[in-house]
Amino acid sequence: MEQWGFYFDQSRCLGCKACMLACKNWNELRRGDKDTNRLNIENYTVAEGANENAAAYIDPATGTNNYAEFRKFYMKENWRRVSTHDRGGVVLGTGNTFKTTFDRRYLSVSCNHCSEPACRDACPVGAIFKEETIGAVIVNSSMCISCGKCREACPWNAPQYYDDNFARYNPDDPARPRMTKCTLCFDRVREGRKPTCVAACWNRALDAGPLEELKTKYSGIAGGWQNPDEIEEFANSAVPELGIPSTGPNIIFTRKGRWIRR
Amino acid sequence: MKSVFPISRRDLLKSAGAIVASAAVAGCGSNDSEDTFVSPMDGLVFDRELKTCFSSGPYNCGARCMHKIHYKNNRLVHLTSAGDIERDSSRSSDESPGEIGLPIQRRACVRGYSYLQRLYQPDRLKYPLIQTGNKGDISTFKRVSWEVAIEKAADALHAAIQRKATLGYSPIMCKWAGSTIDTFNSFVNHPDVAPIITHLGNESYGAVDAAKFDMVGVDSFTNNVTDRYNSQFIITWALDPSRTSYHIEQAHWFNTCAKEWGIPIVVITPNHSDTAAMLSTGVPEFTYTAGSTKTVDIPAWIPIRPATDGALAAAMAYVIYKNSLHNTTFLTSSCFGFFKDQQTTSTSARVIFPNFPPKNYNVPNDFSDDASMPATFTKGSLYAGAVFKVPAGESFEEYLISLENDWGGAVGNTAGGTTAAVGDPTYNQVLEYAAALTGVPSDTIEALAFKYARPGPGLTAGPAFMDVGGGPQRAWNGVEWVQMMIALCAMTGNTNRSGGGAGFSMGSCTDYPAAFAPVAPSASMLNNIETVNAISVPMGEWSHLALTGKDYRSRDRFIADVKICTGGTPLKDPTTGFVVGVIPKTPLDLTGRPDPLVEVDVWFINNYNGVTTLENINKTIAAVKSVKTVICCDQTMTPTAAYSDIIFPVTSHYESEGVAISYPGTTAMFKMDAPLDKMYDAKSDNSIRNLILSSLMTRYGYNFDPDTDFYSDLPKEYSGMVAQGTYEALKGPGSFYTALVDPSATAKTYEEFCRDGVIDYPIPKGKAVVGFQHFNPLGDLQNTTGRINFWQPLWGKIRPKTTRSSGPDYWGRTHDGFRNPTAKYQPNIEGYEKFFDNGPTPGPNFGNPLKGSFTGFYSKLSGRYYKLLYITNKARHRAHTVFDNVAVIKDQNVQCVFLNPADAAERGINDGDMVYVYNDRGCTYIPAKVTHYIAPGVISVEHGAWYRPHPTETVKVWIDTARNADGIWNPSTVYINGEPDFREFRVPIDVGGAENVLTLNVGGTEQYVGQAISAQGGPCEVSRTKPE
Repeated sequence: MEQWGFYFDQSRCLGCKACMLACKNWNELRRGDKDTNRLNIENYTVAEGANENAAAYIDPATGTNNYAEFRKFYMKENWRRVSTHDRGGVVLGTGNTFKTTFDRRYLSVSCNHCSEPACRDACPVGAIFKEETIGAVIVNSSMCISCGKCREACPWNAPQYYDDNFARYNPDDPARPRMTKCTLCFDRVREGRKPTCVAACWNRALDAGPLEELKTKYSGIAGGWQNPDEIEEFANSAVPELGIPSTGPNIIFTRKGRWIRR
Repeated sequence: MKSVFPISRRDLLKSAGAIVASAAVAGCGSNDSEDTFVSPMDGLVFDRELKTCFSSGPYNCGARCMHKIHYKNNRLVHLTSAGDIERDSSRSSDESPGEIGLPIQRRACVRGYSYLQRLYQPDRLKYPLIQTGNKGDISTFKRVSWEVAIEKAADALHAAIQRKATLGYSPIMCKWAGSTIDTFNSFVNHPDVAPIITHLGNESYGAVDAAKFDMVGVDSFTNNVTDRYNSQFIITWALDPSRTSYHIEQAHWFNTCAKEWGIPIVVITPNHSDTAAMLSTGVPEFTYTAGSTKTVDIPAWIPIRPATDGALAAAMAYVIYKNSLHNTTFLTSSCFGFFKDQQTTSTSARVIFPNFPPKNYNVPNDFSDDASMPATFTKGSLYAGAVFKVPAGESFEEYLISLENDWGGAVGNTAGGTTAAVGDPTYNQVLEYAAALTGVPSDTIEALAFKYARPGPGLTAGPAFMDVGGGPQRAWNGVEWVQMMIALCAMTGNTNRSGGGAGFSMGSCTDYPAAFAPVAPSASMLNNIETVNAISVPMGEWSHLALTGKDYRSRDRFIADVKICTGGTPLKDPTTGFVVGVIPKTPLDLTGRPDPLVEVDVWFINNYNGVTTLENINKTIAAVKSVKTVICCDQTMTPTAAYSDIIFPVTSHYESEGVAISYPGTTAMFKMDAPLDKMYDAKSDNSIRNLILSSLMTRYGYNFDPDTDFYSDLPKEYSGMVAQGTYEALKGPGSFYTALVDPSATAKTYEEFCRDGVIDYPIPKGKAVVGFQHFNPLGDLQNTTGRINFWQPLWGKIRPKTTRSSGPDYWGRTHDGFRNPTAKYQPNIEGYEKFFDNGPTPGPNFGNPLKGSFTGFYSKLSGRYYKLLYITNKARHRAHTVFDNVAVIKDQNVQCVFLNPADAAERGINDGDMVYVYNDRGCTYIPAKVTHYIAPGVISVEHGAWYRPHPTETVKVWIDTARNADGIWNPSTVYINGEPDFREFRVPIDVGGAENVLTLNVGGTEQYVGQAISAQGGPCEVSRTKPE
């Protein structure tokens, strides 16, 4: 096996979320509720009354756009997540002027396809495994019992459900959310393509490939890349509430730090 | 490794087909219980049945990107973008930002990816609808056949045209009537129909067009995008290229590379934009000497108060001037109006406006009423040879010195014509005043000015690039801000320098026309808009027209302008395309007409969400109610569609072929394929208009077949021919490109273009194209003098020399002035100055942010003090209002009000609380985002969220209207200074987060200025409790 991983350049990330959208777009047919919430658009039939029903547009209780209805038809799971991390502030100083120490950083993370995945070890039914060719961590959703233990175990929030109330569903309910997660775009990678988030990254902050290859590729940039071991501290500083077990995340990254000419 | 189902890659590859088959069996035949074994890898097989083609985004975000469409069985399955290429080929063909001269990948943003969801939205309009109840009530729309809907629309237009016999015009209003290149354009310009009413202007960059008009000429271009790499310092002013990059795809990526190559960048915005977050560096420990030697850290993000950007620019210009950092040679030879008493002989090849002036720039033709206009002027002749002289007191130099009195309080030694020395109290107080007004500390202002004028090592002169956005020009005083940007660039000689720039980045035709063959500066938008023959009103003021009979021009002025606008049709030089004369016709004379002067019976809307896009939504809705018939063509149930009487559903761009080009300035063009057959019972907008017109013609005894006599819905294969024709006409390379960049450049064949999905003409850093050298060389600008006008003769000579007053009343009801002929800072109509010493009786330091005490903005209408200023910056996931209904991106960018923790604490607001954001014009109810992302005293509600009224909750608002709430003309209206007095109404609270319930729809008393949007820097409040 040649272990693959991600590279993330925080000094380039604009927080635009194109990676998230590209992921949802490519994996639309892999979302957990695709069978329960599907538009009947195969032949574009125009059902009588479809356009006269005000509730199709507007939530009658609040008057807002009926987003609850609209969002049934896209992937809710965030296989890739972009978070915002602020430090410092801007205050009114002397002379009616602004004084600022504000700094913002973004963090784009999907699944780090760990060498020792905590999710795998936590799963009571053995639905999660490491795939053999590129080391992607894959879930067999059909086995999932929606217990949420994988989600609790993962420091990165990689295991996803389309509904956060997944535990409340009846086990026999066909709509019961089962865990889904990033596959490292296994289908695409096998075809010689980049994961869709990497292909989409608007500001070229993401990469993926064999981890050793990535380390070589990014060894020359100013500041260099950080070891996977350091991502615990990296993430800790960005997301303080996360506890970090030693899972061997397969990611290297460049921090946003002092501005350095490359 | 612990794997539960170890399946080898070899097995998978060997039997991919078999696994797909077994998955199908497992999925279909069983009860699908959790015991059923489904291989987890089944879903991870690349679907080889998918076909791939190209597309782009037809909605106008200002740029374009490449989409790769993966489809099957007449359905879109995936959408990827330009970065979706073989991994192995990434290194050679990926991510060259221009320095090495390769094309860059034009990758999609979230808006691009959301097209897939938008296509299949539940709120897509699928068949024609008519309103059977009250406007705005979605529950009372009823489906009708195409025949019935077309007939109703034609009936409404016919009834309106019948009224022309008595009114002299057809009371039909539509937008962009002059640039609609189809039969509808012929219709609205037909002698039996014209004139109609058109609401002109531009929501995106209207003030840039207005500002450039006589300062540098509308037909002017600035440096190409890769030239920023030749810069030594970049100021990104009010621009967030990760949200909006006009004419320039991937500007954020170019800026990223600039940063990584060591070019320092600072960002000036009221909110910490994504650009500020990632692409700015600041200038640490910048040392310079102004009186004494100082060391200042110029921050990466310079927060500024909304609509005071012009004041910061004025202060920077003051510092540059007082410290003699300005480029005297350039200002003397290439500019006019900077120096006192400066005189110049025009070298402009532009024709003096003939009797028929351009409609969008409604310039009266009575030049001769001003003695200072050269007597030799003949309408229709050239400006060249005319001598212009700056009147006393109106040069830019004198304006800067006047700041010592106006801002500096003349505490130094300015009396008697001498001016303050650098570092003396007057000089310092000018900067302190600007600091108190803008929020930017005085040492930052001074250092920034030095760094901009002396960016090189050891404070040497060098190129600095002002990368300007569009936020501050979407304000009442936006024109003046754009002019101050142009002025700063000219003062430092950056205008025509590689690595510099001219101070604007958008506008009619502004960036760069090098790539594509037929695009040259002479083919200007200006000439296109001159072809309108209509009663034209500023777009944001159309509601005032509907409610009062005219816009904010005075009655006399309005009548006079209508005469000009309807007094002829333009005569164009067939070679140059310029308007050189006029074919006179009898003008429409409204003199002596009773109110309302002008009525609107029909509003025809084509793919335009005017109700949400334009300012002052509650007033707009009152206006819509007064219009007899609103006809709307759109794809989704926008708020504008909801307030329409007849709705026509429009097809998507996946159903016919085409090419996409963002603007003439871009260097790339994209192929748009047609992967889908026709969806729903929809038609193309062209087809809809033709069907309506055919029906209308039957009333005049003509029988047309819309499918054969007009350009109607084309079969796919014909749309392919049209796409090819468009490509062949535009493909380039333009003569500029072969002359300046690559003499051996050739265009791709159409087949190659279809294969690649894109044609791109990259410009490497070393061959940067400088607009003011190559396209619009100084001395030959398309304005009055041919030079950069710090003092603009056109505005100085044809209008009374009054300053645009911001007026003492709630809306500055005395705003009776006209454009400033001199570039200068103009306080905003409801600007921050009015937050000081305000009240029922304003205090002695009213309007002075340095000396006055902060009271907030006092409204006589409501008796409220508003202590916050709003901005309405662009959202990352919308192009104006488009895409707001697409939940997949909306959920990632929740509409909210951003406010600073200090302001939140003062109001007892916690992060996530639902709050009312309100002023005298309206109220929106949205979540609060408490964050240091935004400066204290400023709130942001991002532009473009759809207005949606709450079913029951209402608030008080005040509207100046001569109609009742139901749209009926109210003969007992009280008028003040010719305008209806404000009256109190109750309107629903907006729950959609539409920022335009807050904004002001006053462009000015002059149509020319009013073509822009007035959406920034007004007063408001935020509260957890409902306002009363």
